[in-house]
Amino acid sequence: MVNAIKLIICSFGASLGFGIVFRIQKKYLLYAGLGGALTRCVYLILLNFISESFIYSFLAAMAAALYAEFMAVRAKTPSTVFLYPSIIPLIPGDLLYYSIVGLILQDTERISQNAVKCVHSLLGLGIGFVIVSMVMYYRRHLKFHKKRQVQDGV
Amino acid sequence: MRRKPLLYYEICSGRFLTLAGYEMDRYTKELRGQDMTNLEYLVDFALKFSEQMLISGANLERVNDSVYRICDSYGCRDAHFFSLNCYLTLSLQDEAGNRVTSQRCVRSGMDTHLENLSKLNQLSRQICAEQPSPQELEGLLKEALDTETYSPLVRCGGFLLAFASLTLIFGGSVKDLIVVLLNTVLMYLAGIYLKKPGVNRMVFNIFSTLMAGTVAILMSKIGMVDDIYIVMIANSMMLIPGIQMVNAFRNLLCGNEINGVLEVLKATLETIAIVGGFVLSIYLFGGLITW
Repeated sequence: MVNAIKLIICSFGASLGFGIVFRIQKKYLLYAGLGGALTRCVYLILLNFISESFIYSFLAAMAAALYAEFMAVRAKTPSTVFLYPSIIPLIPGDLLYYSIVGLILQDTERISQNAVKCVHSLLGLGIGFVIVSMVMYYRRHLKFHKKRQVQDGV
Repeated sequence: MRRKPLLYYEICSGRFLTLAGYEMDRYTKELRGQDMTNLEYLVDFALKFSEQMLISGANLERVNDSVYRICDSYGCRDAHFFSLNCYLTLSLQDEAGNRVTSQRCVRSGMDTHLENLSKLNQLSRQICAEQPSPQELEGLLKEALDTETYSPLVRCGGFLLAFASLTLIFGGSVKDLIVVLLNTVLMYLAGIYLKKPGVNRMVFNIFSTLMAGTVAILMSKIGMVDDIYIVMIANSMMLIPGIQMVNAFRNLLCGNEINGVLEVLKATLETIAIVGGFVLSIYLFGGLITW
């Protein structure tokens, strides 16, 4: 439990720090940090029930994307502003790193251990974001076309 | 006065490498003066606007959406926009049947700037709602981008906070943390002085990680590091194109396959460069460390 709280606090710090690195407006910095903490929280909960990296990455990514879309609608700003800092805890940087180390050193065992997990995580993240953002995208697109049809008198 | 050839001027002024980017716009304007039509102004603006959105960190779907909305608000229903992260082309036809086509190379060395992205989004909304004169659009774009919220010192603080947190997440000790922070400052300074549009990203990555790896190894030799892998992974997170990789997968799944494939390839090569720098530092200064 103590370790989980430590991880959540550190994720808050990491997302807040990346918020500054990505130059978010000051008024949104706290929300960026909260996004990171929330994503880590969901991730830790999912880890207790699911062992497949693709599934828990996918669900955690959906949670991060939903948070970002919710905040984006409230702040009338692109969801990317909240999404980028929020996904920091999910990025499998260490897996990517170890996979390439394996590739350079021709260590097939290391590649098979890390690269497969890394690709699973990235696919899970990608699909999680895409599902949420595509729903929002088509919702906006539909509104745009409806407006255009009204203007055209169709 | 007779104008010198562009290439001659560029070589003399030492800006040959930037010919394809912003410098070209200046010449276009100088050469064409006030001859540009409203449609040309609009195409010119739409391309610059999308370039700035991409540089600021927007994904392609968002950029395409904004460009079509802007064109639509000016009555240009027949718009064809093709975009990659490094190349844009727009063909636009107005209601009178005039067509203008233009293309633009997006300068490399993208630097995520989410405040600019927010402002560009607001600008897009403003333009769609008010439709200012096409001649005013470039001024509005410059105005939107003319801000810098964080000083370099504050940004450095942001890096330190982020990487201190990541080191703790990876399970690093206080000693590891100190070395990671030292490396973060060095890599940040290297980024300020070396990460310019003309500098190859892979060369920059190899240089940065070679430097960070060397510092980590030297520190470990004097007993200042408990786990050198944690130091290297935490520092590599500063350069690993994680968001780029996630966006690439997103492109692949959203129908922008060409860009997705290019971005996956680019991100993989950049990661190889990152790891290559660390491996090189181990071969050069290691000896005590085994992988």
